[in-house]
Amino acid sequence: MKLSRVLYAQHIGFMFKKHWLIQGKRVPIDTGLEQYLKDKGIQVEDALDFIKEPEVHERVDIIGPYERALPLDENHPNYKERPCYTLTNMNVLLEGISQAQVLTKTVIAEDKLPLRIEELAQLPAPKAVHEGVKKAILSANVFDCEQKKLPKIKDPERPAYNFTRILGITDRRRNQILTNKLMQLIEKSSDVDVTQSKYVLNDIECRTVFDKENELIQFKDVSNILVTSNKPLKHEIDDRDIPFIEIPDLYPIKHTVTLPKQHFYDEVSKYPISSNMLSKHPHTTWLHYNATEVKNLYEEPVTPIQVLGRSLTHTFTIASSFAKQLYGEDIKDLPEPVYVNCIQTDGQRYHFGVLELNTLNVSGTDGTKNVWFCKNDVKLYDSSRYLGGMPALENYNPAVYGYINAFYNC
Amino acid sequence: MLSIRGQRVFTKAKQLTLRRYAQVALTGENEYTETPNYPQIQDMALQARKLRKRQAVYEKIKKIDTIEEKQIALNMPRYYGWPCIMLSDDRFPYSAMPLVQFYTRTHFKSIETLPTAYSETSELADSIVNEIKSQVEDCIVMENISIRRSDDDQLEESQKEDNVAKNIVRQINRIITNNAADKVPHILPSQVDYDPRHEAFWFMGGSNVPDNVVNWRKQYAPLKDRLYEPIDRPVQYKGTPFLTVRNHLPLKPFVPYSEATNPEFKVEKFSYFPESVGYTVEFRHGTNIPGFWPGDLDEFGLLSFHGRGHILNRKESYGLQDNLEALHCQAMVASFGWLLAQANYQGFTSYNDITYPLSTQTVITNGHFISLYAYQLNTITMNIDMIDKNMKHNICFGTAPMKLFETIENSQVKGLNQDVLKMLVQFYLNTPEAREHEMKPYLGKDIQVIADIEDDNRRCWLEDRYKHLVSNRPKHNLLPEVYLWEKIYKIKHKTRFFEAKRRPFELGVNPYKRRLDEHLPPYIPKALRPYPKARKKFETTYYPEV
Amino acid sequence: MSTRWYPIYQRGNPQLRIFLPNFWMKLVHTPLRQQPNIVHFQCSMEMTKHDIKNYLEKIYKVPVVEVRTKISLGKFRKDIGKGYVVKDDDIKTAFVTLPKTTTFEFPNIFEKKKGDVEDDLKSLEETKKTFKQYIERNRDRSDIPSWFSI
Repeated sequence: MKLSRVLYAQHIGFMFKKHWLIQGKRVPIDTGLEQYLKDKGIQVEDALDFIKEPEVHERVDIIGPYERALPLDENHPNYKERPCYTLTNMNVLLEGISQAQVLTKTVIAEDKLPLRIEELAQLPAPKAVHEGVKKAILSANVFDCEQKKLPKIKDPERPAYNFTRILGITDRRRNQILTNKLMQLIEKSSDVDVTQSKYVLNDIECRTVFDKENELIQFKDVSNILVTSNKPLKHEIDDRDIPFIEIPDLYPIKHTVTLPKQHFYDEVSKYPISSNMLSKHPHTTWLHYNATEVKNLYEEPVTPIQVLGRSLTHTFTIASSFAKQLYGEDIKDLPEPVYVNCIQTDGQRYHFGVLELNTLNVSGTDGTKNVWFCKNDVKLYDSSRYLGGMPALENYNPAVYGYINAFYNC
Repeated sequence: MLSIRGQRVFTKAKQLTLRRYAQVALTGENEYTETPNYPQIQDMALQARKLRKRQAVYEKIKKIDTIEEKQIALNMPRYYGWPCIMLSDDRFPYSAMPLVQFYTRTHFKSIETLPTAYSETSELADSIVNEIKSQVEDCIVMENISIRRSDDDQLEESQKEDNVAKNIVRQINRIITNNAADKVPHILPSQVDYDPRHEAFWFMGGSNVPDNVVNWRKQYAPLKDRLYEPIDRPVQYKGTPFLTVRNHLPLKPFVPYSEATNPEFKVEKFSYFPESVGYTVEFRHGTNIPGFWPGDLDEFGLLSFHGRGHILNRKESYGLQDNLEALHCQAMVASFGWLLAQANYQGFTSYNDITYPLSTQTVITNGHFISLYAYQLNTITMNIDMIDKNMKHNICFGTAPMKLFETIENSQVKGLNQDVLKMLVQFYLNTPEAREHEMKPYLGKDIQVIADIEDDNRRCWLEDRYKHLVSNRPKHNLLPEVYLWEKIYKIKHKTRFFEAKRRPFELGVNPYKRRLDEHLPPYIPKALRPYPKARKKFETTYYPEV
Repeated sequence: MSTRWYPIYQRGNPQLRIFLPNFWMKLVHTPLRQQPNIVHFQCSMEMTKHDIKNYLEKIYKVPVVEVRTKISLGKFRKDIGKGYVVKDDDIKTAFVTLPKTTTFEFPNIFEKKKGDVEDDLKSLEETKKTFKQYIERNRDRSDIPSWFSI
């Protein structure tokens, strides 16, 4: 401000500013009262001692329209002393696939799928089917009419800048549409005998609870599409020449890291289909990776390794809960291995896996182990969106459909 | 002031000279004819002039090339959106049938068996039913008993019922399509959508003039004789079916198009206020969305499944008969809404009637009871100019709810109703066919959606504007409002006459009459303007001219 | 419970202890352009939809399908003489839907019978005549009140 500028004598803004300045530095005036009272022999107590004490409100029971839920604390009747380390489909393991290996006692055969799947995947699909896949990709990414808020856009250069929030198709909806349409397409182009022996379920929850080195662990997972079949899935595997990745040593990290403890849980595993049904055998499970929903416990972005770990824990959840329903809760080494296929996708990338569940005794690293065959990171397309106002699909990869079809038909 | 006057005089003079020039040019041709050739005499009465003005707008909308621009054009007159009567597929007030019938212009015909058009697929359907019977039984048992889903106690009864129904519908759809895919060719290329977004918007004439409009007209002396002049009421339908099937070819009509004007199908006029029936009004931009954006080739619906959980939310005092009517209403509104949106994607609007019939099939179910409806759309213009002249009516054939099965005992389905299953299969077997006439007469030849537009700027701008418009996103600024204190002290009682008059109601402006394009376009900062010198301060807008 | 005042009971008085709710409903004219099975009431502000339904069903045996209520703002008017703006009380209106087969017509309580109009006219004439007579009689004593007579 120029020194020569004349201030108005009365300026409401300045007045307020000054007022705050003055009022902000108020000093209590010593009236001499304290000294006076002391002289008289009366004890003076600091007023702040009384103010600081928080007021404790007693809980009042009100007769309302419904009974209030009890607070989830130690006094709750369902509270269990023993904590249970819980992994859900919204959470990921810190070390990803290696931690999953330790938790499930699994060795990995990287880039190796059962031979029959590889054979089936090479079969060429008719052109009409590939057109259908392209349609499905477009309708999931471009033509669906959902307009919901997408995650905030952040520019690392200027993190405080607020960009316009874009409305569009959420990743949850996109994955739902794409996977379901692919599923429908495969079923429509398969033989009636094959489809008749299968059953397709959406959004179904499995739970498995197990002990590992005297710690209780539970996996709760939602299978976005679960294909079940009349007969148990079998794979013929010749595992002599396969270079397995052995179970790693995680030291200094403990295998339960980033699994939050829970005191409210069910000690029994749950497989959603009751045992008297014919088509109860899990065949293929589809797992969606929705970037907006799956989070690390401590806010770091989810890494690709962690995403791969999800596949293994998810498949293990389904296979083990089914095995427990089949052979009882306390079964250790299975008389016959349980096989479950798994496809994890974020719409664009596909991670294929087959789990051979041999044992539910996951303590230690010796003895029988489970086996995880996988083929990761296959792209179905490079990008699909409105590009300059025009729907676009770039670099469609027809090989992926072959694998999905092989997983369904094997 | 003076300069403006001067300009006006000048423009008038220019017109005069132009006209004279035109006359001079005409003399070269044969000006005289054998019989005097007079221009048509136009009715210069006020109503006739108004009508001509409206018709000019309809004509302009008809001439617009692309689907999206037509949708923007429908919304052009209102910046803040239309006060729409909201119809939905999951809430029906008591005795809604007369209103729904009139607002969708639908004649309802109760049937026991499917219309004759379905008879040719009867045998095939029988064989399919025999094949899938056991599968359907299994799926009913599976979904009702054998699957333990994580149950949420927070859900209402109706939501729970809808969830069960949704799962059963998906299974039945899976079973039938898988089986029929080999037998009929149209199943494989059809697309199945889960929970699509269906919206439709149209103008409805023929209802009474609301009191607020009459009161507003009473303020102005010239409107004294026109207090009860009819107005269009915008209507918006919003719905979410469980599942829809669509194809790139339309279904055949159930009755010939000439039947549409049959006086038998006439619907009784319902001129009472929809608010008094129990419908509400919401300010929003009109949207027509049949579950996909323009550009998807599978643009004709074959079949849609809806839930009936809302029946559980209705009061007991409504009675069973009204619940049944509510189901019929749901079918009519949902079918009309979906077909209207599809018709909009063919280039027709609420102002420009369809030139051929469209049809769809609707199923309403809760997993146990199923009611089937076949709907034929013959007309979509119901605005004030057409409501009385338009003789066409839509037709809906519908059955009462039928049991898919009797009970489930010991994990076995007892009494599966094969007739219902057969009808359902016949719905799937109803083959869409290519039509011989032109499908999109009011769209451009080469440019039908904005993705076809050559000009990059225009295409991107229109795409953004269209998506923004149909999202009905809340505005950043608050809507204009007359505060209560203003109403009391400024409008009702003029106690503040000495204050400067700045508010819209003091200036005689209705802020809700603002047009969509009455806003400042985005500013171009100086640094971004093209070099060397560009005077253009604001970006170009590409609103359709209506 | 009623908030009405009753006289304090004295021995020997009749016992006036009737505890009725303060519920009242007033049937009002429906606008002409309204479905015939909808009836408008104005009612006491404390009444809920359930109260209104029960009131009509239990006391008057009227079949009620649905009740919708609305509280409308009271009118603002200028106080006569004083000039400031005052507000009247708010009004609770109940829209009662009857079964769709029934129709309701607002009763015309003060119906004019045949001959009533003539009677009214006759009495009006009579009054006019007496007034004229009175004026005639008192023509020469215009500033004296009417009761001042012999």
